[in-house]
Amino acid sequence: MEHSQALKHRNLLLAALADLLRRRARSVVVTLCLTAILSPIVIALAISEGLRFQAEIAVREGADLYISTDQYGGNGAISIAFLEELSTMQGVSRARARVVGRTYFANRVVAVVGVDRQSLLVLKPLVQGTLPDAPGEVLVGQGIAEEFAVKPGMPFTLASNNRKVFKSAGTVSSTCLWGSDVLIMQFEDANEFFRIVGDASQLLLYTSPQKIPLVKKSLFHLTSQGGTPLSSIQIQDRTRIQERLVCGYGYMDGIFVVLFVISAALAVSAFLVTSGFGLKELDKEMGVLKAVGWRTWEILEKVVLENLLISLTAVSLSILLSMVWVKGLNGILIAQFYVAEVGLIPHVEIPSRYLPSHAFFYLVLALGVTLTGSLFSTWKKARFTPGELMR
Amino acid sequence: MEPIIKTENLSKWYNVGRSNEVRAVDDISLEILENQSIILYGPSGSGKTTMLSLMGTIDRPTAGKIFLRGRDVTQFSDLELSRIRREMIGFVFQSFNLFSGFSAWENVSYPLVPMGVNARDRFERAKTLLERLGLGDRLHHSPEELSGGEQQRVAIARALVNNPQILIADEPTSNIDADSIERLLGILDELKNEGKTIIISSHDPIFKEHGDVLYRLDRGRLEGISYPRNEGKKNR
Repeated sequence: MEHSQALKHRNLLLAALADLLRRRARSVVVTLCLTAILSPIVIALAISEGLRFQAEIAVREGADLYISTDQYGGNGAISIAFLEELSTMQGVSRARARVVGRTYFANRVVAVVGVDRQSLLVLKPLVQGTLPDAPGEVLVGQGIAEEFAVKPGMPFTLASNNRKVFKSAGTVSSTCLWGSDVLIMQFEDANEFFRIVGDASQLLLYTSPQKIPLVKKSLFHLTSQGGTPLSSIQIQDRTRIQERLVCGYGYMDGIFVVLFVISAALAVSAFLVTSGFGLKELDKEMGVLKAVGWRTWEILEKVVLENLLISLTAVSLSILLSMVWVKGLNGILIAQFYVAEVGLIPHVEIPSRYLPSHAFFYLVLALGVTLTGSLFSTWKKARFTPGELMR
Repeated sequence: MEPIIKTENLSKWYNVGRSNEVRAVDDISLEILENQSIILYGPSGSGKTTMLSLMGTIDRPTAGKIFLRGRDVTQFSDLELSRIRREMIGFVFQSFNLFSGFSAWENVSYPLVPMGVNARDRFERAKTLLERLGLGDRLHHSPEELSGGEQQRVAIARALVNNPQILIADEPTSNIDADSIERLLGILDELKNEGKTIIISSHDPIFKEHGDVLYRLDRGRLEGISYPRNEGKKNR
């Protein structure tokens, strides 16, 4: 007869699989419970990773340096008078000004972005309608356009400054989630709307990657000269913004955390109860196994392998369910717990991304839950004599 | 000749010190020689099953000692006892304790799983034993599809799969019909002829005429010893 350690472990794995199939009902219930625990986490991480990925793209495709003033530790408006001085700085290929702010479109929070004509031209492939040309013309994000049925030519006002009347020039579609809740207008219109004529929220500097240190050095030299108009500016480069991108659970909304804690507590309890079904029968079987010569650690290895198989199945099911729910059904009913203001039925595409490292994390988590429910009790029981277990 | 099993003042008590204290086995000393056929005979509650469990190392005594081939196994670790059960002892339970949902051959070969024996060899070993016990056409039947007598033969095959020196059977006739009892006695005689030591507990009078040594138990104590085979020869 052929004997080997590798064969022994393979035999135990196959025995674990056979045992799971033999106790089919229990295996199905335990797997479904575990899937219920994992699915919200898988969905949360997939969406947060999707958001992070989009943010990274936005940063990568944006300017190399962002200049604003320091106002109470935050970003303050900066005079566009500096634009010329900065654009002539050595290493700077292009300098732009933009206004970024928030307001309400009906009851929905929207981002208002005011950019110059050249920046608007870049958006042309994404626009349905025309680019803003006359004063007051605006590109409306797809999410707002769909929700409020905003058609080209339709006039509207916004909170904060309802004396200024805007008109939709067209709709801008975006692959970014936040691109759907945006109003893009000419720089001057945004200036007027926020009553910051002559100022911008940020000045954007474009340079080649090799020139960034040189430009930064020149900027720091400017800021170090106390008393000059540029002495209180804030400089942020692309790397710093990337570092500030919150990933993973950082995107979770407070309500989600509460809901998740409650559902996880219920699901873990349900799991522990269901995994305890038929425990008496399992004890007896453990006694029989020991009586016919199985060693305690061999029984434990089989239990671990059973849990591994259950965990693998539950993780696969959770990922599949998450993909169907988020990618297929666009996160209907569930995305609202992760992304603010998307509502029960999101009108915008919910981003999601699945990474192998996340799958490994889910597996570790699943194993942690299953082993908590079974390994300790099995280990405790496996130390009894076969006679005690069978009684 | 050194006994294969020897017990010295063996006791197993439950609920010690309480009002419901039970002395399942109380101060029993006996010796079993290799290739002997031993019957533990007595009424229900006499301590037969407990005595078998102790000698089969599936339970630990409250007091006294058990020697297997001269080695005191009373203080053996869980791991050492597992090794003894794997290498020396085959146990046939009263209620068979087969795994439902597994086929006859899978049940028989299950003790070989953690020994690293491949599936083909396990199947061949199980098939050989089941064919020998007249179950060649029941290899793929699950316990639920087998009669009591057939289940018992599957349990015997499982007990023999590691080729143990000692076969222990607890009340082997309690769950089977008359035809199966006849067949069982034949199998046990055959195994003894092959050199195995057979230890059986029973309250069935049929065993009063079988076995080399019959230990009579009552209320956990050894009440008498007889030698059925020798007496049978004398009577002839």
